[in-house]
Amino acid sequence: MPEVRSTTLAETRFEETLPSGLHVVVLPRPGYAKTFGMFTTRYGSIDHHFRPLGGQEIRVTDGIAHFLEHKLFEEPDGDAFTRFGRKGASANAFTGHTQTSYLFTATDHVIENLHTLLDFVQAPYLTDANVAKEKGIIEQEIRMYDDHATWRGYRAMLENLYHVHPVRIDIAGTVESISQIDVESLLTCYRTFYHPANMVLVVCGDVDPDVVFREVRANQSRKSFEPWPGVERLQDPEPDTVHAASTTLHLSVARPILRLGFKDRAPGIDGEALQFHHLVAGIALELTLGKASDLYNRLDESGLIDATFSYDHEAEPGYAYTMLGGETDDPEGLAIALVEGFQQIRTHGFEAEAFERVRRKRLGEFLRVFNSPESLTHEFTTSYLAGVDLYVIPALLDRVTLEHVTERARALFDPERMSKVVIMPTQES
Amino acid sequence: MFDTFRELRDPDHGLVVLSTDKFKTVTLTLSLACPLDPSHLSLDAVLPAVLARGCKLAPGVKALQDRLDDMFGASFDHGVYKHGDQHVLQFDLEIPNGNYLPGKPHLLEDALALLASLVGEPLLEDGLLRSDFLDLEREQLRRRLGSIINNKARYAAFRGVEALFEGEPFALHTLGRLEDLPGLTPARVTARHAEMLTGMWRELVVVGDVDPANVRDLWARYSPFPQGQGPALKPTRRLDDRSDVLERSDRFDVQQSQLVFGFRAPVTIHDKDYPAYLMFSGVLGGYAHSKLFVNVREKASLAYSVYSRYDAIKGYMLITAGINESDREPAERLILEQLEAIARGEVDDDEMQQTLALIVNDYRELVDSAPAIAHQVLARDLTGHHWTIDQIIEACGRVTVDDVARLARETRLHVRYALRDRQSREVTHA
Repeated sequence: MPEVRSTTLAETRFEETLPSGLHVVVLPRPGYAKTFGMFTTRYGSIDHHFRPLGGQEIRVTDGIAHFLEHKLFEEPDGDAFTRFGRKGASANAFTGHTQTSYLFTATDHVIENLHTLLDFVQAPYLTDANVAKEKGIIEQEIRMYDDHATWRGYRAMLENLYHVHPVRIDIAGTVESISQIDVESLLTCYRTFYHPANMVLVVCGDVDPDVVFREVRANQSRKSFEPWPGVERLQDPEPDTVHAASTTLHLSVARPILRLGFKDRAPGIDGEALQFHHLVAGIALELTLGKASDLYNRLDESGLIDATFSYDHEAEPGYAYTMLGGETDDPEGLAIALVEGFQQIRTHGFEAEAFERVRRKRLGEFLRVFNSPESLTHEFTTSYLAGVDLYVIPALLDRVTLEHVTERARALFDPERMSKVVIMPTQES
Repeated sequence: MFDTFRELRDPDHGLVVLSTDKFKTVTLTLSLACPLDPSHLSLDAVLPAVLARGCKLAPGVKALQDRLDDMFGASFDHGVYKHGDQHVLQFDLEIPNGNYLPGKPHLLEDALALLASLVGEPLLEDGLLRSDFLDLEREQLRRRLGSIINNKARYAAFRGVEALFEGEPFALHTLGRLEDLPGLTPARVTARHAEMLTGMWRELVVVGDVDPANVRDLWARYSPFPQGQGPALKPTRRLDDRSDVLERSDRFDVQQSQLVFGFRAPVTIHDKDYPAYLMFSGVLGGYAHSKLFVNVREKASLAYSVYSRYDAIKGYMLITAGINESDREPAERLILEQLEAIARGEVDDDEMQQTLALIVNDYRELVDSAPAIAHQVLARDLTGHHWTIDQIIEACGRVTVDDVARLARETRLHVRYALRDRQSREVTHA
């Protein structure tokens, strides 16, 4: 149970990989009432075409990872929610592009809840009837998102940016695609991706690490796991260009919404290098569009943007992009003003003083992660899956220079790699 | 209220400090409260936003952001919300604790000085709040009021509350009404700012690893308010009972229909039955084991989202669900059947035990979030309720199925609302 310390952050954690391959991490939070446990598989919606090593190539239907997440809560005599509820834990789960996570928070009976978490995820109970029943529920989930303009804009942008990469597919799939899901296809995905060697368990709270490790080892030693052959993810080559430069949707909204996206040049890197790339992009975006930037203040004073304006950068080994935008009365005018602003940044770069200020801000913001067991567990898990130690973030921030940021901004706002989504109001009666 | 923290109260300066080393940041929440008055809602919505555009210490949006960034990414936010029949204007500032940063900077005094300047030293022209700031924020408010239709589930819940409290100020949106916007002149907003400084109830709650006496001395020096906590607050009015059910609906271009049922709750936070009502609400629809989730979602597959929500300050309950329009009649019937089942006492020990365990969990974990702690302190001081967390937990443990059934019977349906697609067929209720 090796211990990892950061003296600057006053943080210590414990971690170990068990014989089954399961990686277990304890993040102690002395004085906290709540314990947060999260069990994650490195499996998300983009894993739709793969070959278990030594096996056959498989292509699965859209939305299956998310469907499986719903179904694992099912148990022969009820559901896992009930088992958690009896022990005062509230449980949940979510599916992303690259991970699926199952989680609970509890202020009591932490060890029993931890066993429940491991047990329900590691014992799928799938029947034709319970799979059929779930389709109605997920159909309503899909329709809920269909009425969500911000989500629709985000989805449309991913479809514009990518030709073939599966990040362009909706995590929940479609009403049609989920109708094809059956017990057998769910089990195929389960066997391929839910092996302990493909998973990580993080426990964060005022817990005794020795007890947690002893209980998790005992739990896992009661179960037998075949050696994991591993899996090869198959990916058609994604062209460097954007798939579509512009899309307009008509939805029930009060005002138009503009979204601009930039496909990041796939850097072909991962781990700390990719994390560094992402941090630099984040600083470049903040310097360009943050509330202290000239561009933000111009757009704000001209009334082109409002409090809904936001920007974000995503970076995964297989894809990276920038997205920004918000509600506006004049989507075309805003798009032109933004593109002009980006062009000026590409030509003139940033001021050293502004850069230092944003870097300092990022350091302070990083501390906030440690305030809540949930945010710490989420950030730790994401970093772990990316092959990055969360504690190195301050040191990475320290390495960022003005030159890095200026150079990144030039590449980030390449007009050749831009796409635009406009959502226009339908005429309401 | 929170036994694990050192609490300092200084009523002379409307200050509460909760000292704990759990957090790596310090949270400052300043709240100003006044009676909910239709003619003031938009004024109170626009005022914090105008103040946030600049003050003596940070004259402008960029100057403020630079100052926050210099404080290692301090964050500032502001807003308004309804708390029973009070309208609350809120200013939030969060700063990192310098102990975890290079050079161990002291940020607390700067933070209190900045907060005081933002609230008390706005930028003026000819003695009035700046008209260019007001023009921008009036326009932002107009847009925000327009955009409340964008999130259909939230809009449906708002429409349910609006119908439930028809004729009362509480029916109005916290941002006010579009027709009030032309009346937001520099003179009126400036006058409202003066009232905010001297005529509103006020409280600053500070949570973090701080020396309470030091905070008290600093706030005494920087506070822009006169001594004392301001005028006392009037109690929140309860909803009158009615015998008929109001039917309301809206049509939009949507994929999913949103159903809302609005109920008068017989119990508020001031009643001894408050814990029992929490239990009733939890059995009905607050959790994944609740009747609504199990029977409407898991067994009948009619919804993904189906919940009940209890407002103990104002005393009402909403049930909301997103469904297919073609399932509307069976869904409505099934939803109301869950309430009827509870009223008949059809609640087993397992449902009671799970609800109790989850309520306990919800309360116990409040102490892990500084904003949640600040909000609890504020809710206590705004309403004057006397519950401690331990008392609520203990009282929930004594609640019986009979108590829950009785409260279900006393809960009256007042409003039935549906938001549905423009193309869908009209369905009338028998």
